[in-house]
Amino acid sequence: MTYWLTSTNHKSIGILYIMTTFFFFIVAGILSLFIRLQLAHPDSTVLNPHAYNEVFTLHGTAMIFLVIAPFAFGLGNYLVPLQIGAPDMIFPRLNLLGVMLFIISGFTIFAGVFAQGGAAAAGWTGYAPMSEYQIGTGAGQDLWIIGLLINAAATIMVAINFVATILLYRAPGMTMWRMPIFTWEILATALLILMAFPSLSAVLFELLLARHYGAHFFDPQYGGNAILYQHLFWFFGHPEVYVMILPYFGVVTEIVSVFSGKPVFGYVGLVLSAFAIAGLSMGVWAHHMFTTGAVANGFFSGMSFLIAVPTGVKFWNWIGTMWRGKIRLTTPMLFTIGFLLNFLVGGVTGVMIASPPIDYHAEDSYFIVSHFHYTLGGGSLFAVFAAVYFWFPKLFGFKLDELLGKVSFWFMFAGFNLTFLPMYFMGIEGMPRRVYTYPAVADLPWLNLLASVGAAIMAFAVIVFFVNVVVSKLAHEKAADDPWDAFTLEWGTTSPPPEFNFHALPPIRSERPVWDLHHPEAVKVE
Amino acid sequence: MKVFIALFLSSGAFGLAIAVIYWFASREYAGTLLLGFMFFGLSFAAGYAMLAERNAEIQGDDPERQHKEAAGEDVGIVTKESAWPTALAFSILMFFIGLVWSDFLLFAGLAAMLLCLWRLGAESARIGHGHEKLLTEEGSHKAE
Repeated sequence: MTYWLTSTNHKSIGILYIMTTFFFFIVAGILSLFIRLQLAHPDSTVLNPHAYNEVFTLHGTAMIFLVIAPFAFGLGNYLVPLQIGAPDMIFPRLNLLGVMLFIISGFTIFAGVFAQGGAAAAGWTGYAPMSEYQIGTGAGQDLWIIGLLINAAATIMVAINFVATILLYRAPGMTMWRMPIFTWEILATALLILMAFPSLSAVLFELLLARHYGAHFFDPQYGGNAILYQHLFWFFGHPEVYVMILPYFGVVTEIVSVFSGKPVFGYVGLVLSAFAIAGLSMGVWAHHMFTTGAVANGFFSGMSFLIAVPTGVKFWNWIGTMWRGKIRLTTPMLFTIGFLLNFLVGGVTGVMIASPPIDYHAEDSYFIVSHFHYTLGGGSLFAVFAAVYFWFPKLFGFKLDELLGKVSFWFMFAGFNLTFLPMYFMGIEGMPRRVYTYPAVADLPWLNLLASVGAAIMAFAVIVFFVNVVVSKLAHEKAADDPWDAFTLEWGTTSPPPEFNFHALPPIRSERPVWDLHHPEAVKVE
Repeated sequence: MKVFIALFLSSGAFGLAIAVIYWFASREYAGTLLLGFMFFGLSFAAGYAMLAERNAEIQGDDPERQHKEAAGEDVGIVTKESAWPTALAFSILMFFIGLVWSDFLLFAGLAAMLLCLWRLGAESARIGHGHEKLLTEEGSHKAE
């Protein structure tokens, strides 16, 4: 225990992040099962209205702030120093502070469950005035605000560390243009965090002042602005979507390349598109506010359409990488292909709702719920599992069982689509989000039942994953240093790596130094 | 470093461009100001990097330099363990809890934060004490 509380080694910190995110993933997953249980039939009474509000608020908050984004920070913490040939992150103490603040933030948010008045219940967006006044939202909402303030500080710290490490700590020969795409994506993510997260800190602090010190930032009656909260929140909130996706673009790129047996197609294009996405994502925040009627819809619609272009470039590059490659359908590759298919559906429907006339119809309906679950669930979460199966041997020294991995994938893929595809149709039929019940009209009853069955199948897939971890741990088939015939530097050291990462670094002459080392006959010096 | 400066500058210029377009499209203050901050922050970082580059020699930037050539050189101090970051994290929690519910916790948290920061600073200033390892390029520990 003392080791985990005091170790500043980037690998133990990375594992701490990953373990914590999986803990909250289980909690948030159980909460989502309660949501689907409540909605399986019209007029259910599994949860009362207020409990339902608490459950979806905690589910959303946990998945966004405690699972998907921080898993990437954990993976980045573990991999970035290895991928650039560094002995650690450049600020190890700051790194430990960041992970501890992250863990504390999660438990602070969930401590609201035990507070008088219950947990936070104003949604993961915590819109003022719902969250501003202490009417129906008690100490749980305060703990939510404090937890997220701490979470934002932790996230900014990890971003500073990534930027400085990547800038200053690369091994000799590891020029920027030889860095793995995953490291590039982490860099783009870190810059995005530094630009977007201060806005979250500011708005949460304003909320705290409004609730306890009589401030009126959002109250027009006292000279405040009614939609200031939304502006400040979404200035953070939309870039946050890309904080949750850019690192996984990096994961997907690494895996597609390794299991196609080819270098990435369009390395420079992939890097530039990451920064184009990051830049454009700073200018699209108010497409979440089209229906307020108080924002420049044309500007935000245009910017939102534009962001599809660099994302399309990435898809082009991934397909180009697979094209005529020797594709190996391993578990990480299956999850990656699942990511591509699901994210495509989420992305295309995202382009649809970037158009204000469609958004006016779809806003706050299950169409939106389905859209963002296809990008962050079918997209990022599938990439989380792809990353776990791919890098597990490096982190823990043994491989996960392939057969159980594939079983888990197929159940998850089927369950995911069974859950979220019907939601598009529910949305089109007018079912609003964040409402604890619905009438038995049109196709809503059977579509909801289908979605709930899908959620149960997904839960089974997750159970298979944990069974796989236990079974593989018991079998303990020792992993080779480079079990996948991979490319990047982390595969050039032992599994798991020694305390300061490398006994000896291979020469770095391209963006695939380990492949160069293992295939000297094919090396083409830059 | 040049790649980095170019990234910061181009991102900052992009921020300025959309801030101007956004202002004329919306006449809205909050977003314009936030985009302005984006431009300012990135330009400041680029400016700092340009000034720092005069003295900085980043070995990763040289495509010809290889690991063996640099063998024996120090790459810096790598901290192995410290209790103060965890203590600081709990102090920050205490501070925020105090901000809402208790003046005592507020000031106790503040005092604990200052103590932790002071100890962290002192720890960073000491080189080569028992908790740190000085690395050479080959990853061997030159001093413990």
